[in-house]
Amino acid sequence: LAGVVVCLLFALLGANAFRSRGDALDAARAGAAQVVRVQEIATDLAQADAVVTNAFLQGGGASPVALQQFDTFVSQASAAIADASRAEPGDAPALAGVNTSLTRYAAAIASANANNRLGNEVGSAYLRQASKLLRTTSNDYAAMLPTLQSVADTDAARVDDAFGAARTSLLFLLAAGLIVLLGLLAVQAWLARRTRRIFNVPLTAGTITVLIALIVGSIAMFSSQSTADTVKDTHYAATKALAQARIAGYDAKANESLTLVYRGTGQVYEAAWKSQYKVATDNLSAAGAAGVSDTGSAALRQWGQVHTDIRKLDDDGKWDAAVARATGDADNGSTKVFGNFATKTETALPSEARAVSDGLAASHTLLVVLGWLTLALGLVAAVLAWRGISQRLEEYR
Amino acid sequence: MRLAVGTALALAAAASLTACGSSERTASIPRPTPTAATSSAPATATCSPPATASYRPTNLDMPNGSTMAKIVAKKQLVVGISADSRLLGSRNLVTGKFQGIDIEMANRVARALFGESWQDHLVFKTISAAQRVPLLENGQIDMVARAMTMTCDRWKQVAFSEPYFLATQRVLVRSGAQEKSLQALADKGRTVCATKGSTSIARLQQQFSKAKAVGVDLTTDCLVLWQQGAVDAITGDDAILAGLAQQDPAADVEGPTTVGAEPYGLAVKKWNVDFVRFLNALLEQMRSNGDWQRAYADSGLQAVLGTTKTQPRADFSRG
Repeated sequence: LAGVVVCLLFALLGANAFRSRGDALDAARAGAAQVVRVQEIATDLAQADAVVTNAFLQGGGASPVALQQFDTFVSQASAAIADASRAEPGDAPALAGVNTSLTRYAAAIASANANNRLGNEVGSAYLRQASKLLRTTSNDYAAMLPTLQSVADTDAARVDDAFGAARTSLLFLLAAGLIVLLGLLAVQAWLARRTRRIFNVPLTAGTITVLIALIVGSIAMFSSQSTADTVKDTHYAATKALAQARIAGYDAKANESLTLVYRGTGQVYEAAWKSQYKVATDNLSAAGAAGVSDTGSAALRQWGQVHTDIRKLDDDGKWDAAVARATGDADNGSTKVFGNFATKTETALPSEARAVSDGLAASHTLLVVLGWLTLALGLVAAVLAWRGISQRLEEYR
Repeated sequence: MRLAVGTALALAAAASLTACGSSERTASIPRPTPTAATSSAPATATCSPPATASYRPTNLDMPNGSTMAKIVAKKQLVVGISADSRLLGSRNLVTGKFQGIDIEMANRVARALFGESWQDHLVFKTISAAQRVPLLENGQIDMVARAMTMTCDRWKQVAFSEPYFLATQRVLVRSGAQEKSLQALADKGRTVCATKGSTSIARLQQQFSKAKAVGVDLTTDCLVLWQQGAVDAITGDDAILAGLAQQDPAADVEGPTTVGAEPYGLAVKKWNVDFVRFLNALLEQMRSNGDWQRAYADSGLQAVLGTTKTQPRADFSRG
């Protein structure tokens, strides 16, 4: 009877291991998708700020196209916040804080632009307020970029948890299989001693069935594990790094404009440019290490050179020339050269994100089938064990 | 018996697996780590000679080897100014030119040094308040014209001309507001904005403590808070408030003109005393030919602060 219980146990535990692995990989996939979603919000916001600070620098002469782009990015961010809150309720409270700040940010930008157009210096103070809502943590509001960073970090930790759970399920299957095999062997030994017969055909068949199920299951699990590990270290790592580089890049672009807006007092923005530029550079290296062939790091370096030129012009007292270089659409202008970097990363990102989703979904069907198969084989083994034992006991009687 | 143990183990493993699987993570909003509040009440110390006292003027000559001759020789007068203080020093966003009382002063100094072609030799460098002394000391600028109050402490680092503007502390309120002075605002317990670390906020907190003080980094930040209704009034130097009031048709500069006295002086390197005497000669010439009033009018300040304001009294007791 114990043999039957042991086989049933294997059926249930084995099937459960496959199910939990399937669930864990699904959770990893969903978590990775949420990381992408949250990083997209941050990218939209950083992009909106880069566009609007650059337009501010041009004063009344700013192109209306820039302001339309700003509106588009803000609407996209707003819609993405709603999507992300629905997809992961654990993120909803923090995202609600971002949403509130976004409303205030958009209002501050509107006042900044209106005053700038009238030639009122208070416009730059509104722009400063907007910049703080985006970047500077406070007890009065949720600073948007830092909050989104913390949300993305939480989501990434969920993904890591899920990968961990997937690995655990592999160990769990192995442990369950070994315990059950030992159990069946013990039953065999007990029966042999009790009945003075060495082999019991159905029971042996049952043991072999379990062994086969265990071997096939383990191979499938190991292969799925290695796929998951690869996805985690390549496409998933690349997705995160590329998005991070884009956010930091646009943030740096905005800080370049702000340094020129607050001429004379803009040193703090130049310091921010330096740190964001470094974040972008480091993340492009990480994306390269994760297997992205063209990360746009050459384009980023070119833009860094343009920025150095702009700073030199401004520091030499040629503010107008610096502004012209920072705002115009000339081929060697900041906007055009930065655009090369932005385009490269924008092109690379979606295929990496898709590869994460596809890679983690690939083994899903296999895991479901194997789960049911393990259940079935376990049941077969249980029946065989039942027959084996009852047959033997009958003979014995 | 052994089987039972095995089963128990397996069940325990199953239980622990479920336990790890359900770890809940919730994203939170990052908050700043609190830092100790820095109270920097500006020193209103007295000294001898007094902070407003400068060096006796000479004339507008530029003898060989003098600071003025050196500036003429390098064909450039570099003046540190503010970029965004309307009516003091700011860039007109429409014309692209700098304007304000600081700029009027710098223009006149350049004309005294270079004559008719002065515009070709005058270079403005926009600087922050914190950069004023370091940039003078390292020679990147020849003079500061940036609403710089003459104080005993600063005399230890730089030399000042006689004051070219005497600011008093007033309030910016909504047109038609009932409370039109610091006293009235304090009596009603209103919220008043001022820049952090300024003499204005120190006086607000000490003499009008019933008013709620809100400190910000820059004066234009006060105007944002005031327009958003977060504060009832702004206090600060009348010249600065005048610049803010010009940006909002619903704002008026009100209050008595007797509270506080902030003498703005042109600052130069501490040992360029010859240059200070030259500047004072120029300011005295402006006093005698009425040019100061023209500068006051051209800066735009007169339109807001009225015609009663005159050139500050000079004190040359420094020797």
